[in-house]
Amino acid sequence: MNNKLIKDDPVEVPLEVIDEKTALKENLVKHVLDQLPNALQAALPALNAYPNDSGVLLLTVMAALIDGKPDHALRFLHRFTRKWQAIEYEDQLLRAIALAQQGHWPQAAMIGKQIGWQNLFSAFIHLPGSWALSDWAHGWVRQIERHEDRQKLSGAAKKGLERRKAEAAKSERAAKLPREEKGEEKARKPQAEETAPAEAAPETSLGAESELSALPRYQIRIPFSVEFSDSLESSLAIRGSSDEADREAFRLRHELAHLGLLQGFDELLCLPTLRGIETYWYQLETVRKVLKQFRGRVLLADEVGLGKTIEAGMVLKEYLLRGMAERVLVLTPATLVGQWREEMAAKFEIEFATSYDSELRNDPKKFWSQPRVISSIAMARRAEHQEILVKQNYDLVIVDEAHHLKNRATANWKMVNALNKRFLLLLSATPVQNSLVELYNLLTLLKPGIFKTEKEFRGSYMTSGKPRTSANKDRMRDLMRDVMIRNTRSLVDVKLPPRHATTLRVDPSDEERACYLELTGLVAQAHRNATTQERMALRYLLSAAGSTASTAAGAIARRLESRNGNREWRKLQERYAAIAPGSKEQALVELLRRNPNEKKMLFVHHRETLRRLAELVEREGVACEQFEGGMTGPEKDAAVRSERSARRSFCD
Amino acid sequence: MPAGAERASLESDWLEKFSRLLDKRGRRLKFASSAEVPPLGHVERLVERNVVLQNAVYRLSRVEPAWTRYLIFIFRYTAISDEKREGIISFGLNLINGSASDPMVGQLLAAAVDENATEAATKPAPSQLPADWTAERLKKAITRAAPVRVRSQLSQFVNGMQRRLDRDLERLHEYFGGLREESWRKLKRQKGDAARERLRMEAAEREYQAKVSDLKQKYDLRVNIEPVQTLELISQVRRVALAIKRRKGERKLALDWNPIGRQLDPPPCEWSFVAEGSRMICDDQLHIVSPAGHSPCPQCGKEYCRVCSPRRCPKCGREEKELAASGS
Repeated sequence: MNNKLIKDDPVEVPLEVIDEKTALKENLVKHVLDQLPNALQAALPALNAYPNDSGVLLLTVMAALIDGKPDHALRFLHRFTRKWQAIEYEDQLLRAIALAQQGHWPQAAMIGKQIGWQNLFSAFIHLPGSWALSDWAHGWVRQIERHEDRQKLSGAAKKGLERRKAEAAKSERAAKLPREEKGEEKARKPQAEETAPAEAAPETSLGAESELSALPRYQIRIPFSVEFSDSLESSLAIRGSSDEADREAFRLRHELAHLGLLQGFDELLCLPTLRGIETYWYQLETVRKVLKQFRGRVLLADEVGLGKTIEAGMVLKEYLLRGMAERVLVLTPATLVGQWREEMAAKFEIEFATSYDSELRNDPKKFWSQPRVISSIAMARRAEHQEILVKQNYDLVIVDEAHHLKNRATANWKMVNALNKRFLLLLSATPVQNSLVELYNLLTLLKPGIFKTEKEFRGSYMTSGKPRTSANKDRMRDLMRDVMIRNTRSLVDVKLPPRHATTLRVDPSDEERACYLELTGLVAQAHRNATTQERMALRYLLSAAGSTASTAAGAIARRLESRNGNREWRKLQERYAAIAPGSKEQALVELLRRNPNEKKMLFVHHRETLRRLAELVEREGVACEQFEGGMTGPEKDAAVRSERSARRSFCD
Repeated sequence: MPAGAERASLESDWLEKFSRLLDKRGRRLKFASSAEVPPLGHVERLVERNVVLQNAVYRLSRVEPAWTRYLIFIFRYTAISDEKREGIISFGLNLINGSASDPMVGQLLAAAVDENATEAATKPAPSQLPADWTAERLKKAITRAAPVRVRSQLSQFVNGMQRRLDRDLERLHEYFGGLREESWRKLKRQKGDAARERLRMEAAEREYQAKVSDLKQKYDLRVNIEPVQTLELISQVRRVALAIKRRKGERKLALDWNPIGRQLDPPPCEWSFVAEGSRMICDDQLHIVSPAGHSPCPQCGKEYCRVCSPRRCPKCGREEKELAASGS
């Protein structure tokens, strides 16, 4: 109704006639808003009295459409457009509806394509009684749009439909269902799709055994909320200040405001804020892609050592700097919580609360309501915490070692799936370990339905008997391009810091050699009649003997305790225990003595070896720190802090 | 590049440094334009083209030279969803009547900012200018006028998001529909555990709802608007006085013809401060409003003036959405 006259202007209208018109118009408005029958009949007196009134003309068009008389509607619309100019596209909206009512769907869709579907959707606000008729107008536009979508899906979709029909027919025969019943179902399905309600309550199909009602389709308009900055009031209050004559400053600020708009994701704001990180080109490219192309939902599957954590940290920092994220949750394996906190604080200057904090136990609600949290995934999935977590809204969720989410039946997967999140980064160097289904499960978290259902995925992309081989590589690669980034060493061709690997061969002493030979003999003897579990225990003994003599002695002692071993085993244990520092231990001590000021890190497999070596090194007068998997989070953090001032560290 | 100059990227910290250097300067400018008003011919035709009243008549009283003050506001907005968009909107108000000067706001700004712009030699006395608006009245005008303009500028961005949202909704519908259909087929064939399949179907429906609300949150568009600058432009105008008659009531309206934009200000909308479109006059207070400001109540269908009843419909009491909150 917000229209502009483009021809004669009916300026001089007597007042009493205006009253009459108003009464007629009110009657017409009532008919149209309530969508009463014979609305067109109610419109005609008003239209005859005032054939050139824009509001009455539009109402008459709408009345004709409500009555299902598109020919009349088009005629009145023509009269409207001859005399008036629409402010937005309300005339086009009415034309499209009229064409659709006439069955000219392609022509109606053409209007949507020409002026933009969004414009067509929003044009209703310029119609009289717009808000009351929004559902009516939206319903029609949605139908026209859907009709257009269906036209597009001609080739591939037709084939798919035929295939599905064939499958349905096959299953029908197998189930020996009456043919008529199936036919009814097929006929009903597209109808159900067409009459989808907007924001309607879901209809459950469980009550009806004979037919499956379609899931409701939702039409969600983008929620749009506006708030003014607090500086609005102060800016209004400073009027009359002394610097009101500085034209140059005004001009400069004007230009500054416009230049500031030109910043995009091409230049990363986080780069100057990073501390002690050498970034590589592929990492920057990855971060840009995540921000621009993937819109913050991606599986980062770089090979080990290429810096997935750095990439995730940069994405996080970028979102924080741009004000696009406030609440962040990082989920990692328990052993990595401290490392994540350390890296985020040291390299990105982002402070996080972690699941090591005592607040988690004292007041879980308060803990989880903090804006930035790093938690072990095991802690987060516990029922008492998960209940709180799923009620939180997160802007960004990062899951490290995301292959722990490979199984959709696990509590891990379900918990991450249930989180309310806007951006989601999954980090894993090995997204597929045993089967492509694992990849399917990960990508379903990012974009549910990207590969349809698991059954369809198996049918379309997996090779029977070869769960890790894709049957349709090109198509799969196309789809994964939308949700996954994988950098490999061969691809990035980056000169990473050189790694010098040297193997130092150490010959065992005579006693060590003799003990090991005896041990292998005893193991071989016991292995013959051993169960699978026992065989694993025997293999462990060999592994311990390959470490140090004291580790072997400890392992044999535990075996004797649990199995009451015979005299030969007991004697061997005593011989191992009697061995003073073995050849390997002596060689290690020699190596450490060579350059005492250099920091060194030792990785060992067995906990006993760790303790033994720690004693040995302490005896040599060298400070060291131990770090092992059995430590609690705070203990690990303390060990790392202490390691910075110590010279050597042992890591299990 | 001139000698001694250094190339600075738009994304470098130079802009930040520059902003700090400017500090609070340049936020406001008061400028009296030297543009002179030529005599106007065919005033009736000019008014006829610009003033469209849907339910009232008017009479042209007189045309005279005058001074007026325009307030031109420049705002920066930041729209954040899963993407971010920033932009600048500017709009102007003529303080004589609150009419929006959108069609010529660029020219009005240029008249003050351009290096060649000259200031009027003799400035008008305060009594010759329209009275200043209170901060509260200005705030009300801004909070109604800005969201409409931001929304209009963001329409392409919102369209793109809407398309993506529609695609995502379609994908979810297909995926969860597929899951339910698989379970339903098994039920029909009496293959597998019936209770388990029913639970699966229920779970798919629940999950579908959850994912739909997840999407709604993901695409939720929050717009923050912050003031950047305000220009107070004093300008000579040709003032056209009109007497507007609605039923037995009559009110006066002064419309200014501006020599910088060389056009007549549109009639004000005292509700939404929009520039475009025709106007309606309310019966009680003779407010001038756009048709949206006098539209029927969606609940009871009564047309009523939003300036007289800004909060609720006088007939059925339905609450009116604030323009700023709804963004429409």
